[in-house]
Amino acid sequence: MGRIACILIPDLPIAALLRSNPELRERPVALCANPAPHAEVIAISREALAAGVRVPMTAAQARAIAPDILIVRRSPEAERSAFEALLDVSESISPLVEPGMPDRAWLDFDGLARLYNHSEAIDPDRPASESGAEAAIANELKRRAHRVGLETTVGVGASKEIAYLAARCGGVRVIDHGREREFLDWIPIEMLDLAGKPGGDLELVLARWGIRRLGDLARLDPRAVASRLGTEGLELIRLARGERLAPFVPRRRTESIGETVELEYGIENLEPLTFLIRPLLERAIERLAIRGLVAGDLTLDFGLADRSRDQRRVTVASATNEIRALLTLITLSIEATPPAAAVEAIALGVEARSPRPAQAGLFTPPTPAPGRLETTLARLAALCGPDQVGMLRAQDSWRPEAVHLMPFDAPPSFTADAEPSPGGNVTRLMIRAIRPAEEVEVMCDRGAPEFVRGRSIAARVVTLAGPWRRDGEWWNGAGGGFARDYYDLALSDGAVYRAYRDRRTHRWFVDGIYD
Amino acid sequence: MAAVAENFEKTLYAPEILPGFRGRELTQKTLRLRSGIPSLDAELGGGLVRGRINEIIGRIGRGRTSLAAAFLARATVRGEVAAWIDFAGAFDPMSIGAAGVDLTRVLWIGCAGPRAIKEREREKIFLKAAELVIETGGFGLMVCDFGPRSFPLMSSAALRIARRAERTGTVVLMLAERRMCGTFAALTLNLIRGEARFTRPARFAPMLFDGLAIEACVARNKLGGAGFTAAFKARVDPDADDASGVPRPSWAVSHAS
Repeated sequence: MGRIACILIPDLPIAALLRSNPELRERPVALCANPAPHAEVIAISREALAAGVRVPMTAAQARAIAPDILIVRRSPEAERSAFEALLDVSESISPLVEPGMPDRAWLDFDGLARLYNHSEAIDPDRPASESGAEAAIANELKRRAHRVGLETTVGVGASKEIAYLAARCGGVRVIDHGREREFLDWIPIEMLDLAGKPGGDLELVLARWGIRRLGDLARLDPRAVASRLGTEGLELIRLARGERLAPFVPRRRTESIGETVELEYGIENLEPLTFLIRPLLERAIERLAIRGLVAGDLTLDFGLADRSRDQRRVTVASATNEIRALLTLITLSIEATPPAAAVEAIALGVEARSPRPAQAGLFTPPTPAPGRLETTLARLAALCGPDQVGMLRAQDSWRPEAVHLMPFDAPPSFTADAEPSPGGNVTRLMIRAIRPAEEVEVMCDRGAPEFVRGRSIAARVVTLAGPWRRDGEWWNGAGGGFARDYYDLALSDGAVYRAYRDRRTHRWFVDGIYD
Repeated sequence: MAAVAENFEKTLYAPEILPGFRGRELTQKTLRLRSGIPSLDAELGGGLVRGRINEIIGRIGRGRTSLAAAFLARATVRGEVAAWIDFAGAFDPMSIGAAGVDLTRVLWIGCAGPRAIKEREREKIFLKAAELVIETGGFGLMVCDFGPRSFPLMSSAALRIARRAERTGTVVLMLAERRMCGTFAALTLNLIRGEARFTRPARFAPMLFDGLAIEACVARNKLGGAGFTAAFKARVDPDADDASGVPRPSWAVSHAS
């Protein structure tokens, strides 16, 4: 018989709100569908319950009972983020997870005790029985959920239903193999949430029959119950007897992490916006970290005050979990193209990537560790700009200024077979590029340059070589291509410049210095 | 057993093998990065010392980029990873690649981006980038090209780079017009002459630019041996036959390579 665990967020709307706004944890809070005084309260926090507020009072009634209560609009986006976080936590423990909307997930616990037997999650003082190991894993599951800002309960049992009912009992509860009936016998009928299901009077009927617990129900004759209550009654009896009803169907999710926040007001300035994005990013990174993943490209979706949306993609040069670097990239993106109106909702998406492993050799030159290099590249991209970090390569072109930047990915180190032998006291002459090429004024004598004057140059031509004619890229269409005469000019300031005359515009440029 | 241990010890401390261990062996003077120019390597005692700051100073046009590229080519050919931090945006991949540098092993960091930032801000970015690279570890060579900047670094910045270089064993090579790191530089190589050479292969033939004749003087060497001068050439076409003295034109060389 398999083992299934259920992880449950007891009061999802409130839990999602407190996860998005941790500063509200000690305050009485009530959630409504809208902020109007006559709106019904949907969910309340523990503090509000202690103050006497109940569901479904109206917002006005709740305020009359508890004047300091905070009425907040329900946020489906925050609930979705919380649920996604719950799935991440589940997948960090078990590879087989079945999402059970909206507040729970089931995990396949079969064999996990063996996988985690030597991990630190297992308390060595506890007996080495399977249930002891399962309780330790369940506790670890709950601890990881706490890391991503969720208070959860965990139940472990032989089927999805038993695991769910165990989770409903609160804390961590493991129902040992063979003791399912013992557990089910004392479960109250109210715990099945029959009121919210079709045929909601079932609970009333059972109460009228004097059936208060599942144990009472299990002792009834199924055929007699089926003739009176139909299929629902029969399923209840099977549940009460511990028979498996729904199969466990694990599903894989797309490798993207999302976090969302909806605001009561619009934000127009960068600083408060960054202040709000930071916790979203922290939560997303924490979710990635518990699964051993790193953050790739980011997507930002701003809901604006004028009902439009601002969607953007922030390219991360190298996957990293460095929050400061990622936040700087987001800030640069917002600075470059600010949203058209005040921001009222923020949805952050993070692409999950796997960190690269590496194996270094003992006698090969050391190369940067992939993880550290990726973090450094991300921080450099945030510092200098994403278009300023990478591997600069020459394009396949006759234009000397044609270069393109590629992502830097350090190849593995190797040991050279032999050092190249020195070839005399000679090395190759380099050129320092001037980007963009500096336009200069050139005075010529019978077509040969005599004097060069520009923003940073003013010198007489001492010697020259050239012209070397270059024509190209005319095949790219009308207006494309170039036609230049190149010269090597040794000027009286002591340097040798590479200059060219554009034969179409007859203008002169200096695009490099031999150095 | 003793012989095996001795062999292992010898292999680890061989001059051309950079060990993966941290500690005293990283700052040994025997660990050097050669340029491949015999006269210069001889004056430097085998090349640039690893884990130290080295400076190549001289006006633009005297060959400091060519010399840095020689060290860079040697490092990448050995399988090391290098970084080039570019203050002025002067890195030319076409000519650097033609020098034998494996560009896939060179991380380029530009500080002359399109963002409108002040010079002072760019300097901060430049130094921060240098610290980030060197902190990462695993880079055999880090070239900091200051371009035309001519005033020195603050002592605190130079000290931070020197300490990190010592910890990671990275060769730090500063290219500038004047000395940048003061007392924290282990070696300063002053390019005192960079004379342009033009040749005319035949009578009435067009003039060709041959390259620079460079003289490098060891202006400072903490490890001993200052005041020596090495002469070498940086040629547009180093493969040209000296006897015939006919180099290829500059444009033909860069694209043929």
